[in-house]
Amino acid sequence: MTSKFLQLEKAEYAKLVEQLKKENERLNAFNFIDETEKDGKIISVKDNICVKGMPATASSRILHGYVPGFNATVVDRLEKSGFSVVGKTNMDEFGFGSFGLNSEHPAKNPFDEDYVAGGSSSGSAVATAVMKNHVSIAESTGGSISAPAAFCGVVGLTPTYGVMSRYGLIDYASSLDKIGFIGKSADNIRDVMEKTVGGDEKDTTSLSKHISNENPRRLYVVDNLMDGVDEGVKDRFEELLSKLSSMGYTVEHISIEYLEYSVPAYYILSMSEASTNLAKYQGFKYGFKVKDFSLNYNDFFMSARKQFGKEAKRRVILGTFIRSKSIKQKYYEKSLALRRSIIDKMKKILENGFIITPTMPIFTPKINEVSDINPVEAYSMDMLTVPPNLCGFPHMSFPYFYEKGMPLGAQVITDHFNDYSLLDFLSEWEKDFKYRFKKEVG
Amino acid sequence: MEKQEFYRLLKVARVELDEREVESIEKDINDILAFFDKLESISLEDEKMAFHSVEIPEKLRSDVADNKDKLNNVFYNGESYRFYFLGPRI
Repeated sequence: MTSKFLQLEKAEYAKLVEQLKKENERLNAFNFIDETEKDGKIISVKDNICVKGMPATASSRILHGYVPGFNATVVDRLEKSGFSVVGKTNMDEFGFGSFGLNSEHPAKNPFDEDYVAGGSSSGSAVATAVMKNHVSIAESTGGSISAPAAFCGVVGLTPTYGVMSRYGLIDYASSLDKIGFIGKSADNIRDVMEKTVGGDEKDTTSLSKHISNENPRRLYVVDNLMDGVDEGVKDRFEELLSKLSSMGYTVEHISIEYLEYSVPAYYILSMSEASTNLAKYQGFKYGFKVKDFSLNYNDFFMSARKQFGKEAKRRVILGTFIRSKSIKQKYYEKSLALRRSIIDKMKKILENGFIITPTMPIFTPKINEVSDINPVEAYSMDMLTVPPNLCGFPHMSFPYFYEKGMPLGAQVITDHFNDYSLLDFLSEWEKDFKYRFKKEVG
Repeated sequence: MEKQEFYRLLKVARVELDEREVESIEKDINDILAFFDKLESISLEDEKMAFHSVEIPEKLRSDVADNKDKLNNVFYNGESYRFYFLGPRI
């Protein structure tokens, strides 16, 4: 099979824009739709990745009005390969969220608007679900590609940390951020990934490494990771394992020490890094501007930061606290040590097979079921997506079942730089699986 | 965290909250720190720290300005005067 994208002539583009604007009134998939006539293979880009001439807000009021004058490397590479960006997709503010609700106009699930789209790459998952043969360029820090992909019934691939340049990404947590893809076919995602991976002189953490596709046909289920998973989700997951066994995979149950501590460690590291990354929004350089130059620096800075949403404020405050000299050993350094320990333990397993988990521990929730949950409950929903993200392992969420009309996703994780094995796995899965979408435009 | 310490932290973090936000965020922060304290139950004294998840070779660039011709690309998003951003008093 060869990749196939929605490819338009200039004369056809206006019709797509009209269709998307109509869908967007219902689903809030896009923060910005580009009406400038264009042709080529259509992609969308998460609103924390810079596209020259298009607003980049990361769904934050503090970035309202910011229009980058340059392309992120991933966008540059795709435009040179004949892709055109139709718009910027909705997200949780700066990537802070698992349900897509930390946005002024939260994206809604394309299967049923009463349900969440997932986050933080909510709009990328929705855009992919509603457009024919679409791939959206997304980003994950702790599960922001997998979670919305699972809730919206599409595929989310998060590559190995470092294989995609982060140049032009509005950072959340620099040691954890990974640009990746949300799509609806292995071939399309592979095509886009092949055109974008590789080192970049503009990002000193980017890597030029050979990416392999080794598949030992063994699946590991980590039992101590399954403790908080909904019983109904567990039942469906067991059915998936049976199906994969019949496809020739050996399934083995294991336990990995400390894995259940990865969520607090992840939040400690990500908040620490976020609190420094967000310090660049001072009210005079990007987006929102404080007009009163008579204020002293501290008041000026604090005045600008009033634009942050509640979750951003919470993370800046906590991140600042965690980095304080007297306690950084207790939280920050211990989390770095835990990351080292978990990487080594997971790596030993991943050398011999994939780890497989449900993507999320619950069925897709209704918006009103999660809009008021407390932060600790919300963070705990990332228990399955955080371990590979914390450790930079490539992973992919794919749909495998529809429960009362809503999709359910599972996640496969592989070793560093073995990313293409995930797409081979998906190609095999697609031979006997039919994706369902409510409505597709284009 | 005591109230006094919370207010000191707000000052250090340079975040201003209204009364309602103070009430809810202070509670959230104490709950989250209790959640983080789970890490106290494990000992990792001999473990090295992973600042990145994969090995990132050190890359250095020459210390030369190579983008003098792109000054417009620096100032387009802020108020500027000659070759400076306009900012608050320090």
